[in-house]
Amino acid sequence: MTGRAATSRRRGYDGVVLCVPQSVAYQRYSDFGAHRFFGQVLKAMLEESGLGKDRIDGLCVSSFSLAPDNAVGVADQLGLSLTWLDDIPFGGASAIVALRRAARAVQAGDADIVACLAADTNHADSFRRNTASFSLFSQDAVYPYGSGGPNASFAFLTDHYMRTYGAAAEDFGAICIAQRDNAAANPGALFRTPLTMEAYLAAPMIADPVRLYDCVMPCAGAEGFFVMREEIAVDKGFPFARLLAASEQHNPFPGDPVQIRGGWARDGDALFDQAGIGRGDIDFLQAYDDYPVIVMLQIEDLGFCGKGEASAFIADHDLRTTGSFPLNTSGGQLSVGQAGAAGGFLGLVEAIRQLTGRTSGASVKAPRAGLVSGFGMINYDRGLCSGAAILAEA
Amino acid sequence: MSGVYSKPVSGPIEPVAMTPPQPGSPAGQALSARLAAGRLEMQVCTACGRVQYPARELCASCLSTDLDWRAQDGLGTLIATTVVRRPYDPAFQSRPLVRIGLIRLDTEVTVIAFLDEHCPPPRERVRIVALSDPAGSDGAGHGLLVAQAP
Repeated sequence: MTGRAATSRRRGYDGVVLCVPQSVAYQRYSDFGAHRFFGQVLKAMLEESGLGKDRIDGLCVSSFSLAPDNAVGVADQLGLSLTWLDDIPFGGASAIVALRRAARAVQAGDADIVACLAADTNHADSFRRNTASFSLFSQDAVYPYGSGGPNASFAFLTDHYMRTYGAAAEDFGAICIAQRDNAAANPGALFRTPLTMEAYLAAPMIADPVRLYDCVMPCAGAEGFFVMREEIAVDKGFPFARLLAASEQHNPFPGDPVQIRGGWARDGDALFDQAGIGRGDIDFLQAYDDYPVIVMLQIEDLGFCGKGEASAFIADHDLRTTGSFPLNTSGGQLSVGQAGAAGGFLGLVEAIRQLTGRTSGASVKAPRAGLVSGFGMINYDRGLCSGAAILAEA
Repeated sequence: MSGVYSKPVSGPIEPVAMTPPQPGSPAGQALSARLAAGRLEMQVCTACGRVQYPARELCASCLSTDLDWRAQDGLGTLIATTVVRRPYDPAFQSRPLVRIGLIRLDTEVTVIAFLDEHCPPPRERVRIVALSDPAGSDGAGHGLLVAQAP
């Protein structure tokens, strides 16, 4: 078997903090480009913090709709002069990876304040074109078979998961319904009307067994936060969250015939070891949720229950923000929408909000620590990139 | 696109134009040409013997670039299926729905294929065969995989 778990030699993230979480309100479609959304989220972060552009010396961007530009094009369009620049193209895993890169850069003194931004526009035909050209393997061996895109890929995962572990449609529905309840208080969510199990089950099949409400709505928007030296945040009086642990895995289980686990299955224990806290200390989970089946894989692989036990875990817990296991407390992508790569940032930005007591929607009661996980890049038949981070209150 | 893909969920798989115009990698096009000629062949590494799919420019196991195209029996197990009811591509939107499956071949590669009307349900043994799509990406023919009863 290739790969390995995170090493015990991994250093902590002392002296690095996360702060000033901001979102640009999502919209279904936009005629504008990604740069505009990058600019809007950075402007909101500068206005909230009172920092000038000249204080930002690091920039880390994620987007599916920047081409032909890359990160330096963002720097140029936003008028930023930088000493550190990165571009993370790993879809739903981008936020965790960006956070890890930025935290080490700040810790090592290569940058003082890194703006981690994700933004995407959504033109009328964007999603189809991105699906058609997502990767060489997609072009050769996936898209020609019905052009189902991620709906079809996750239909295979869901179908296999249901056959293997006996999960029912109602189990996936329970996740979608709880997250919709969480979105009710979030003015930024595209979908806030409560969802019933009857409506969930009656919704049309998109790619059997994936139903309409199992799918996220592609949209345009942006998410962002700062990673900076703790002393700057303290000096400026920014409410901040700490980073206790973080990990990423890429292509962790190439020998699995079909995806039943993500990299978290290899990293979960090491993540908690690095954080120095246990699973019982986690007050909320922001899991990557482009489809509910992948939420179940994260709950299992991160060690909140055993493999195949997520259905029982969901039945035993209240997933609402005020419940016993708060999940995707802003509504997640399933209710807020998926603004491309910003979808991967949604959970991390919400986690910082929860831990700094500044949510736009409902708040978890006095949270002290939360877990954020990301997932992305179905290069061929499985999502290759996964990541997770444990954040804590200041 | 001129062809019509008839009755894919319940009817026979017809050798007619199904796929949208689509760029492909050089290795993918080399595979497609073989499939379009009715030959189920896959890359086999002459150094380590690994069979691989999708096609690539080197062996993902030992990194050798010495790859042979060799005939495959196509036998494997159907893992999962779906029906793509909301295809993204206009080429599929004007046609009846297509049923596709994820198949683990005995050679330890996973393929995505159309399912023909007699394809057994998941967990059952299947055989994939090569199908020629006469239109395809450049009008010169495009090869596809179809799973059927073994």
